[in-house]
Amino acid sequence: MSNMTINSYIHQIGNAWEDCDGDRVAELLSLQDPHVLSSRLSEDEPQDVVGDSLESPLSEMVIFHLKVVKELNTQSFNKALNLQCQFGQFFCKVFQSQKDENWGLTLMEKLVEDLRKIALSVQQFDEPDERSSEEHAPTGMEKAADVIMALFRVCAADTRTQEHNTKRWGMMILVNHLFKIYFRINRLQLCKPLIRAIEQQSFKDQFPREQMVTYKYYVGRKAMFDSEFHEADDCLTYAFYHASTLENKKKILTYLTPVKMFLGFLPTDEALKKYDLIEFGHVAEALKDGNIFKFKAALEKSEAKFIKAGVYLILEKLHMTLYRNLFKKVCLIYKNHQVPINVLTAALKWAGHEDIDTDETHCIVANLICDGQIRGYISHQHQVVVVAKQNSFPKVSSIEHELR
Amino acid sequence: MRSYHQHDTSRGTNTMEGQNYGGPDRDTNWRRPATTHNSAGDSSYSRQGRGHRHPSNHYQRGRGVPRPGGGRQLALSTEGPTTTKGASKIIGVCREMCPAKERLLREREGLLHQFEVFEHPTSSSSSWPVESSGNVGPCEILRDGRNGRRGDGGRGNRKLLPKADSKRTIKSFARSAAGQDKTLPEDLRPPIILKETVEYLCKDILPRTDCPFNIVYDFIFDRLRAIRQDMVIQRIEDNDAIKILETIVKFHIYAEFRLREEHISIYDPHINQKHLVDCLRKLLVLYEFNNYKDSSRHEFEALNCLVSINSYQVVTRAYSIRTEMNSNVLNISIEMALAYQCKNFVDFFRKIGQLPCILQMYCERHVQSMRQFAFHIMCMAYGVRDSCKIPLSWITSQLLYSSNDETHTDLGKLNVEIIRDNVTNEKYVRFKKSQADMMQSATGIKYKFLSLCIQSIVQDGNLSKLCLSL
Repeated sequence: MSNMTINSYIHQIGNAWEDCDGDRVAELLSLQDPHVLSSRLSEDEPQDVVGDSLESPLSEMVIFHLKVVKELNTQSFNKALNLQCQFGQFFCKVFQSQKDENWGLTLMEKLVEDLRKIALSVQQFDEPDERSSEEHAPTGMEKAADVIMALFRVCAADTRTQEHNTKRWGMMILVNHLFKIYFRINRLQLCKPLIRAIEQQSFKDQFPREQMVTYKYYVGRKAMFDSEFHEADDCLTYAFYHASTLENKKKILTYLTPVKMFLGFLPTDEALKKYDLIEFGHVAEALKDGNIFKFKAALEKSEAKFIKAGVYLILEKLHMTLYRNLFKKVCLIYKNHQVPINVLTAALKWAGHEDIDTDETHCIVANLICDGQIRGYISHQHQVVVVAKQNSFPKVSSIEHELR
Repeated sequence: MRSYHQHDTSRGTNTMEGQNYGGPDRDTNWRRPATTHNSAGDSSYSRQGRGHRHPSNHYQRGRGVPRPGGGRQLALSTEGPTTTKGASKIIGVCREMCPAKERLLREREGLLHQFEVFEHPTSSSSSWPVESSGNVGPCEILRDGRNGRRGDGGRGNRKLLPKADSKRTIKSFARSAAGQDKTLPEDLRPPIILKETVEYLCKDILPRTDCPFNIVYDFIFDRLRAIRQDMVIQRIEDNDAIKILETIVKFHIYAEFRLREEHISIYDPHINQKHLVDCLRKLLVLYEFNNYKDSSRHEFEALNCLVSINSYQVVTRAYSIRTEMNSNVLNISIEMALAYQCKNFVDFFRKIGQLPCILQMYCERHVQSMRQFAFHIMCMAYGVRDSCKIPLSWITSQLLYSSNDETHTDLGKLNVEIIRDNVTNEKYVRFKKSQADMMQSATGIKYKFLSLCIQSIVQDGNLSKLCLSL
């Protein structure tokens, strides 16, 4: 394969195209197939040879592909990206004209994957001096996203075809690629219509498993960013149980663990060790103890990591649970249903909240009562918290978090 | 009255900028009426000059089919900072705040703003309408002038139109429309002139007190918008652009602070907010683009945090920036966002006072909802027994009300029971748990809060110091 001649290549792809053999066509137009290593395919002018032997539209696509291969061999990522984009746009038209058949989906899959990877290389290698950042999006990524979006429209609009050969089966893979791009360039607001489009499909649960895992992973992360933690929990849990590799499971757990902690479930040390996420263990331990010092230290120690993953804020929000756990201990020690606010203030100070005063303690306790984390009430007149005689500190996991 | 809004303020969204930074209604903008009363060669304008004064006339015209000019405009606008390479840059050569062509045209047609003409020492005091009628705008006044109602000339006598003061005339905002070339270098002002214009607006126009502030606001808003347009067309994206945008953002914050209580016909807070956010987003892009590290950046990164105070994403971004720049104001705003999201009202109100003045002004918009949260929480936590009462003064101080009376009024509006202790004469508030749900939908809670720095600004009125960031 790696020293395939141009004639043999043309012959093979021509046959595959005539047979409507999507898999084989896809292989032969993919950049991950060994044929791209063949030096004999880098003709200077592929137009002549290809144009003579193949029919349109296949000939155009092959020419685009061979040009991309040539540019990649010289590391001109920008040119390669432009060509691959043109390839994608051209394919989009061809694909749209293929009514009532969807064997082109595998080709689309490969094409889009290559496109995204080239865009990534552009970002990494072509402009090392321009820092990529959240707001200032790299154009390469956006260009790629535009092409993928055009393909997505073609797929989503194919509604009249019967289920077994509709192009809508390609929607999820495209959405997943778009997610990857949007998360990288920080355009999360663009994800919403995509999610809605997928959720509307009658066969939304029958997409291939690995696609479902990716999809649920990104939807879960998005839900977390929107502070919809129950939704995030559902999606990430699904992704975790269905993911195949340890590496993917670790990625999923990076988000699932904080969400679970927020909902009142602490991770076990064994699980964290297995997936090399021990930094969450320190946080969980401090949380359990109600130890503010330790909690702060655990956050600080892995701050960069947490911030990079985007979970720092949700961990900061665990402070309320932390205070709840501390107050529970205080109440157990105090052995009375009426606990003076001063005692709680002193406990907060002792546990590591240095600049606390009575007023803020009031506010914290009031918030916990309002959330249902403490059952009881505060008497401002007597400066005491009166807790219920039974179940005064309900389990965190039993509380609805909608109010937060 | 209606014509005033349509003609002079050019409200709505600047498509050029809206396109880049994704305003919510960017698709529909370009169908809005083209409010180009003052732009060279616009036919709707000259019709008006001939006496078709009815404003709805060209309103309908504008709303009809999409304008052919729209396409070109869109094409231009998609080129943000990312595609500057390679393309030839337009460089303005206009050395005045207003291109001569536009000045002459507006002079001839009586479309100069009161701030742009030579001031008559005799008429300057009487030229402004009574303040109570507020929304009578400059166009109206100028028309009055043309019709001789000021008592200094005959009806429609063109010779008596006010003369433009070339030192004070400023290019006004006009959407691009068919048949107009907005890219002529002689119509565009280079960065140095743009900066001078901004400085003039902030130092000489903003502090003016001889007319209602909404007129000052509309004038400055429009002229700053034209400046933004000039910057977009010339692709000015360096530190000059940053300084100018910083000033514009501050101006919009201050405008909200001054005009928030006005009627919607005088001041539209949504449009102001939209422009504020547009400018801020663009500013953040330019910070990244230029790798800008000046201390002024901290303030605007902090502002971003306060603008999207409930957003997980924005605060996460702020965390990642915080590690690069150790900034006190950014830290405070992050803590405030956290306090807001956790509904820790005590912490939130304590942190407000530590912010720079301009950010405190912005925070007014969160005060209302924070107080609402606080009342809800108090109902839930203190409203169980009848004997549970909270001193009114405690609420006043925790929620930064300026006086007990104000707190009393607010709580009275919400039907919360307030009792007086016969011995100490102190007032107590008695919340009821049954009122908790009502608190969440309560309206009319005050947003003003006790702030020393805002008080001092209101007193000494050094607005250029507040807004100008050059």
